[in-house]
Amino acid sequence: MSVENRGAGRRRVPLGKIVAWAVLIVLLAITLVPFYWMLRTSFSTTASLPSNSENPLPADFTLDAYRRVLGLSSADESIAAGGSTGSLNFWVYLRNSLVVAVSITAVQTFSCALAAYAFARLRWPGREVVFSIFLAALMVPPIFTTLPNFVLIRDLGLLNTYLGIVLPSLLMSPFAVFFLRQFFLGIPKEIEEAARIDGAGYFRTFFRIIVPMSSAPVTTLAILTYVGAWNEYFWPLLVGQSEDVRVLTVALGIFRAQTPNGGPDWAGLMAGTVIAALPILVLFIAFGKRVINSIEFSGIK
Amino acid sequence: MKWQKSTAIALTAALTTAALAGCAGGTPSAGGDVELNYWLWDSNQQSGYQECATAFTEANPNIDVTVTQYGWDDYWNGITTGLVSGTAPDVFTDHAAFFPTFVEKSQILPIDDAVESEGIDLDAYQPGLTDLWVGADGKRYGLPKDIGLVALFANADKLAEAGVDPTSLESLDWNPSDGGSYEALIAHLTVDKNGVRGDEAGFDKAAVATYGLGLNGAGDGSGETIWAQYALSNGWGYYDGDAAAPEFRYDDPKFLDAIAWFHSLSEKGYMPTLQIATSGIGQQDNYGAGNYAMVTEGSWSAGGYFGLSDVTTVLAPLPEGPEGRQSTANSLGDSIAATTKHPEEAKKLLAFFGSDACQSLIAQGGVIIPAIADQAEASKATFEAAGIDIQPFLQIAEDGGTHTTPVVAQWPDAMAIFKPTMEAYLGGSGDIDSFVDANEQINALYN
Amino acid sequence: MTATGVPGTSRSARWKSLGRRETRVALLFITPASLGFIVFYLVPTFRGVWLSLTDYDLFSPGTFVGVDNYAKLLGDSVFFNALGVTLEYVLINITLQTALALLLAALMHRLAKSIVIRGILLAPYMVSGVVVALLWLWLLDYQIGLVNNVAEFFGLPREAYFGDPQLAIITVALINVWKSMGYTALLLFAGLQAIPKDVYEAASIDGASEWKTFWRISLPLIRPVLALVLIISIIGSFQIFDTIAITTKGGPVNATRVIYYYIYDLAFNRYDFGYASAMALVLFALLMGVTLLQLRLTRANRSDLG
Repeated sequence: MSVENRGAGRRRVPLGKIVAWAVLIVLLAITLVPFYWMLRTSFSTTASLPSNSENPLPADFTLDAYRRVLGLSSADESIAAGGSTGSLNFWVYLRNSLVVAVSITAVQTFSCALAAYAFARLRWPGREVVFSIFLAALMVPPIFTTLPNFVLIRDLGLLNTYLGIVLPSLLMSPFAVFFLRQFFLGIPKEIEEAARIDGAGYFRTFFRIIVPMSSAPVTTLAILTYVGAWNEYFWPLLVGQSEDVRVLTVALGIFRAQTPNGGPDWAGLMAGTVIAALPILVLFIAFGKRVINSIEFSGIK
Repeated sequence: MKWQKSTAIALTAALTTAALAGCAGGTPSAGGDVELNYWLWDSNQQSGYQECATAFTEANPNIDVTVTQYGWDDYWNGITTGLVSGTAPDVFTDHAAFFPTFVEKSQILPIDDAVESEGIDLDAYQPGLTDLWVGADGKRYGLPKDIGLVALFANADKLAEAGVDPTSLESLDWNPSDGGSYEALIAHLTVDKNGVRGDEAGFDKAAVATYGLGLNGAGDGSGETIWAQYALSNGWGYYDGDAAAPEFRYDDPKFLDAIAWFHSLSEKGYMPTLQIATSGIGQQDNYGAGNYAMVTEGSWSAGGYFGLSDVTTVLAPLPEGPEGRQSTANSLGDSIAATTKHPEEAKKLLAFFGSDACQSLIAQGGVIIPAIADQAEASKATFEAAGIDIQPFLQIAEDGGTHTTPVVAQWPDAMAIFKPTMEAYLGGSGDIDSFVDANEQINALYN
Repeated sequence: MTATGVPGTSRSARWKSLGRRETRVALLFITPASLGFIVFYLVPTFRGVWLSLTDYDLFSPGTFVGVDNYAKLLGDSVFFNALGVTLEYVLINITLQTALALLLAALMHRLAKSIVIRGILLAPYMVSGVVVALLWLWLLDYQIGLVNNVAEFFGLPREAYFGDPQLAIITVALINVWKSMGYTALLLFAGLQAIPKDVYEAASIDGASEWKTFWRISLPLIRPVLALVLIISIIGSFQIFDTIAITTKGGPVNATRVIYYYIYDLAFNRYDFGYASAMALVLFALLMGVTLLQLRLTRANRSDLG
């Protein structure tokens, strides 16, 4: 797959252009087909899957997999259909994921915006030193702080609580500080000076002028943070096992492990993944254009 | 105005944090009553234990029991996290592989006093099982709840197609050099995609449609249901010495010969390679789809196998090796977490779950064979009602050919050495001598 | 710049008082983030170093063992295997991901800038690693997975993608290429979009071909974006966990036991917290080294646009 197949010239409809389109379509198909297959399997009956493995349509169309996964079918029905009695208590896990993702996004963005502004626009002794230290945190691999953080959360008695899950990321993310500082650095000084002349204090300047001006990068950051927090698996796996705080990703991992005697309940698993992926995908479709623009923006900046 | 947005964000943040601090996400307990949590991983036994829990609460009205089930992989994560954080279930189903570590780290409570006070008759259990639950310190930590035995499961249709009389399965013999009549049967039941059988000319081992014997992974150091029966019936034993300082024997020629023979089945095409066996649907599904003609499986799986709609299964005892019929016998037992807030009530629950009353309830579920010897007959009848004759399982126990699987300290570390070695060998990338080296490393853990 | 509180002339006094007030405000502004930083980044770093010098096992307080854990590390063949596996993963993942992302970015830039296409490409990135892992676990199933069935249809052999030690880590790498290539492509695409049109016009007037235009003009101009993307991807790649935790759990035969998973396994399955901390510290040092190396290599190549 190399770029050189694109041939010469742009005016004709060359072989190159056709090849280029073909390549693009192939790559798009590779991206889309797995999602379709996920859907197709989720509407199939697990037992019929082995004999129908090439059929692009669901094997023995049924909504049972979804019923199993959402806990709507009885234990016996589940086991009979090849599943286990494990179910995705969907609404609880959705709530948990929401709580975790929303709180992290809201608090972290706020806290990091404040700090970024202090680093970018306020003058105070030791500013650059402290910022470099903050930045160094970017290079620390999460696993290194994860182990001691686990012990800390345990000692605070916060295992299996919402607070325990969100605390480490709640107040600070080195990337967020860095990202917003970059933007704040680019705001013309005249704006603040104008505000200052009008008698606005630091807080008012920040909240009433700077923040509204930065709605684009702040939104970008918020979206990235939200998706990251929503999809987080490792940390919630360690500290959020119990049913009432379990987030969707962890629940899915546990559901996968509920393999009944024998093999996995594929239809149920795929139904579970569809359900787990749905909230983000819905969000994506609703705010898609904004998300895409935000990500591209973050790349340039 | 735009500033309202930022104030709103700030308020949300503050409120969320406050809400989070208040929200511990736990369940409040009713005042006065004691609430006990019980965990298990086998969904098939969940309803049975639910009944036991109800019976227990009837006998002890101030104790409430909640039964929760987690899948195997996450079960142990949850237990560990729970023990570490003090939120572990009060009583939980324990497994021989993890039990010694819990004893080592003082994470479970001894129950000797409860055995006394609740009047448990230790002789009522099948021989050897109660010792499984005695820790390296000599204290008893659990009661055996079931006996896990191994037998040969065969697909009746495949037997008929091959012209094999099912009763002939009861007199199979095996040896590590040529596999005896056992290997002959496996070869005969193996069919390639052109319909040629494993013992016929022109058999294509690269294109097998039905394997004579299935493979369920590489197993751990006990090799339960997979290869243990061959090594054991070849006269091998897991280790010398006692559970606190075992000297493992994975370098013993009797073990090596048995494993080498076992691997040769894959090389000849009669058994799937490890890669194939572990890359897709599990052994039971493969058996149900007709890809495996026979499997060696545990009594705890009998219900699942006999429940397969497309296959009629015939049970037979394991083949007779050079030292007769030998196999593993295992049992599950409950353990009490050291972090429990109600040790006395927890001990009561454990004693009840291991008692006649509860075990006969579980036995009626037809999922497992009870550990209490008297109930073996009763459970035979229950299994019979589901069309399962468990005599082939019980045969080995009655003939005294059972070995309990190893219950020793530092098992996870030993397995971290053993498992890759076995996986590599069965997968075809390791040498038989690698076990000698591995054995040395394992024994070094105990010196 | 700190004001010392000595009253001076009215002008310098005003400056000094400004400085003090600004300092106070600044400190207030950075308080929440600093709190988070100190408690959850700084302290754990030191604590991690401390833990690595003990034999802590989560259940009982550990005892100091000095550099025993590090000595053990040097003799641990599984550790070196883990390093090798991780490097293999990173190499395959990053080269393939970057190459495909560049290709996609270029294709989008020249052929179709549709938001729908960009959206589709981003979808795998938006869903969690767990979802992706499960999806591919199913697709690559030996018996009834789509990929093997299609392969057999074309006469190719069936492969045990997760069960074969030779293939396992490559499979994991490819899965994550699938997951991230769209996202990376979008970042590079944005970089390409930022190139002013007149550069291309000049090139076409000179009669440069597509290939030459891309190689000699576009690529050098997006170098800073590419560098940033590479750094972030590599750091992320070293920390692969989700896919392995769901699919292979380090097997078969330790073929996918990457460093991250090994540390997790040691800490939470074998309760060897002290040893795991030592290993995490080594990983930290390694990543730091890799990042610094990258920064040095890419600093020499600033964007020619400025």
